[in-house]
Amino acid sequence: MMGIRNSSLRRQADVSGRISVGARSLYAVILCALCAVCAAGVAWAASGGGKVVVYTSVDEVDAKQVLAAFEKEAGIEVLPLFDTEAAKTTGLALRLLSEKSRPRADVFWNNELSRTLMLADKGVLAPYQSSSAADIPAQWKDAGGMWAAYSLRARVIVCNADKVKESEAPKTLWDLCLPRWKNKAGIANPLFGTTACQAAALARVWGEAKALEFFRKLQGNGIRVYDGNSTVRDAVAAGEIEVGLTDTDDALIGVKRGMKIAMVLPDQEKGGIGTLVIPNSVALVAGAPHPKEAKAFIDFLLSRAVEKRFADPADGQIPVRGENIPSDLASIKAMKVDWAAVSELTGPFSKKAADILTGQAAK
Amino acid sequence: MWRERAVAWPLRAAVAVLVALPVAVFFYEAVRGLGASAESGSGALFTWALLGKSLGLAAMVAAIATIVGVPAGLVAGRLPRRWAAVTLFVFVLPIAVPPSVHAYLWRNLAMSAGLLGVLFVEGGSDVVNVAGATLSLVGALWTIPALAAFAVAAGPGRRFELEARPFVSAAVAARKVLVPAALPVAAAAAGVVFILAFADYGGPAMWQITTYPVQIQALYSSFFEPERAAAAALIPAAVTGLLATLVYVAGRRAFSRFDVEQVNTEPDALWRPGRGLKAALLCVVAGLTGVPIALSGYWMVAARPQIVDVSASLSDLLATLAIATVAAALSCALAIAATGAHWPRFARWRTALAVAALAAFVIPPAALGLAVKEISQWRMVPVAFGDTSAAYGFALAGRFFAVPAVLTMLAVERLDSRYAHLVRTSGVGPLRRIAATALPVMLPAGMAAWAVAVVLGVGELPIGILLAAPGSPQASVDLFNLMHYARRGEAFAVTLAMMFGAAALVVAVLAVTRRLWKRYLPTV
Repeated sequence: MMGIRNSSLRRQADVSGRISVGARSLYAVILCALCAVCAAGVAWAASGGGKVVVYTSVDEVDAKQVLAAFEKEAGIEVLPLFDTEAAKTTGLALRLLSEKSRPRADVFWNNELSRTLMLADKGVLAPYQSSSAADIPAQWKDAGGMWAAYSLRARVIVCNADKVKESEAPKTLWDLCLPRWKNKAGIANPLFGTTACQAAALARVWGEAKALEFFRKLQGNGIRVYDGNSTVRDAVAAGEIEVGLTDTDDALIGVKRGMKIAMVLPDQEKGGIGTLVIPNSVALVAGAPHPKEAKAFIDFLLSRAVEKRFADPADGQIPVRGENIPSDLASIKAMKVDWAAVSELTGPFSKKAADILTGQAAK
Repeated sequence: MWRERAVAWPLRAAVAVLVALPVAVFFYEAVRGLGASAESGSGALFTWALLGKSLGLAAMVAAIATIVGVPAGLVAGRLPRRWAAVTLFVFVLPIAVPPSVHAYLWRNLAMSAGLLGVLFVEGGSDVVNVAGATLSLVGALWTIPALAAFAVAAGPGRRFELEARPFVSAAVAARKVLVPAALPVAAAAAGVVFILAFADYGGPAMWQITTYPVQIQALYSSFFEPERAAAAALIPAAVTGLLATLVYVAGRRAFSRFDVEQVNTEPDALWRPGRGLKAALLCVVAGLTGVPIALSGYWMVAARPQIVDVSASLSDLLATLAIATVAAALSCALAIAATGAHWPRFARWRTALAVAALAAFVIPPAALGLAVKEISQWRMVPVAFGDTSAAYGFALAGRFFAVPAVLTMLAVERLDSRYAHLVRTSGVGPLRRIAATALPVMLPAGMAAWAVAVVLGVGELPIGILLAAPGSPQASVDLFNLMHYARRGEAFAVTLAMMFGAAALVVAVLAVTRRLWKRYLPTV
């Protein structure tokens, strides 16, 4: 048996070293394929031209329209990098930090402000005074030019219109801790995005102890944690829960799509803390490979025309210049926050809040 | 001897660059993280509760997937040839998309039926979430044991059964020979399912279950603490490393049951499944794979997505498939060359290569991605490496190098020791020996491994987030975002394209593999 096998193998794969014609052809094809791949890679790497690399956590649908408009106007190719929606901003910020010694990005276009401040603090960003930012109020831009902000979104409570009457809808964040909403409320994971900002802002405004008590009460009331603000909205619309915390843009997009949901601005009563409004922000990356193109992009993004575009009722964003504000957001009472302090708290406090909400804190 | 070393050393260096270097960077970060852990206030790195929950979920998934998958695979392997081919294609479909997609699909079904609102009652949510996560992971991974059992039932294991036929009935031969022959393979497949389930991030997260990968991902992406995340990853890496070793040992045992030679048998002489078993197989396939595909199709059609809506995602899918294909080809080519250069001599080096490959496989993908990112920042590394998809492809090749490395080693070790001696004493140079003797034996295993690496690479998320080139979005990120935005029609269109595209590619490669196997392997 063994003899048969060995002689058979000798027949197929000649031990004397000769390789059959078929095998030779196969190896030649494999070798050619590998060479072609390498050549394509080198050609790809060598391709140059006017381009700008933009890392952005802005919703992909909105961002792509703006990027296309910029490409058309400036004739500069944009290479965008998006993160997953659930981990938005945090993933990109990690990538920017890990690339600090050899930057790949030119511009960081963030859908909130705290991570931009964190990156500025860690030396990832460079100053640039954009001419387009001249008419942006001082509170929404850095005096040293490290960043500029535009178009605000508000944190809101979204309710299932079929299950929640207007009169019983929660009016404040603390109302979500009432027995009426036991196991019927939802929130996005406070580790990420604007929910992380809100957690840190509450810790700043209320003090850490009171904010932690709030999250403990939410957890005790059976609040459910989702992987993003739009997921919270969808769960409310589907009736999986009845109320949830989300952003204005997510809520208004839901309304536009015909979802049976209603939006409530929390803490608007007299003496209330107001609701958190969060700006988009943009900054130049230190050591950007394409600084000229990056500055052109920042100028374009901070222009009045682009901000007006974001004030479209479907996007529901509030211009920082005070023009074209959507009617249902015109009289919004905003929470007063120190963004530098919020930025410092965002990482550590959001982790505490997330541990409480997911039941990890006690273990 | 010197010629053998001259060939082996460059290949050892290549393996070191591809897998040992990122692993070393990971361990360096982990040691720094252990030192820093006491100072940080962001929570404990390790809790027994979290480990228990992660292990429990993975063990449950592995057990169910094996119990369901192995009998299904055995039955499918004995179907008429055409039906067996169809079943093989169906078995590949669910693995082609990440478990998070399965989770999204089952969650959507539950939500559509109003079940989540009804079942989510006080104290009951954990039951629903754990059941949902288990179902999602089983649905994504159950065909791995099925494919392994299929290979036993339809492959060279038939020979032993045939030898028993003159003495016992077909059913007894199957019970006494086929089933015991399938058990080590089933054990190995269960181990693979366990490793993949234990390391999965998306499935449990979709069902609001915090497991170790979720915790590690949060430490990486949310706290900018790569050292602490690496330190936290040591425990799951150790657990999966232990499992991987057991899988490797079980795999060797499984292979030792068979000869690599091809056997032609008379199909009627062997056990064939009856109508009841065929119906059971149909039910299992329909429930775990047919329902997800049908629902995806239904929701896609109901939402009527425009081609323009999904064209960008489909284009990204093609680009991702191309990168995964090239990365898998790189890892397979290196695995075949390195294994061939270390056979029949250098057995200890072969073991060392396997250990390095497995180490890169068991550390969390985000850790590997960050290690490669760190390497791309070194001044000695060309800028183009980090600016293009090269770093992404490199990380994918390193992560899945273990698959071709282990499979080709198992294949080449099955060659008879007397033949190995003949080769060793023949005086043939190492390059010709690799090309003329080891390669034909390893090629089928290498190509099968390539197919597995492509399928797993297409769905890889954390590595892509860190390393995908700007302007070249990654298919799994697109899919994740479509799910997140609840753009169901587009999400399921991409899901179906991913499933059928990757499966068609894999099955085509398997067909080529079969031809090569027939052409190059000896016959009795």
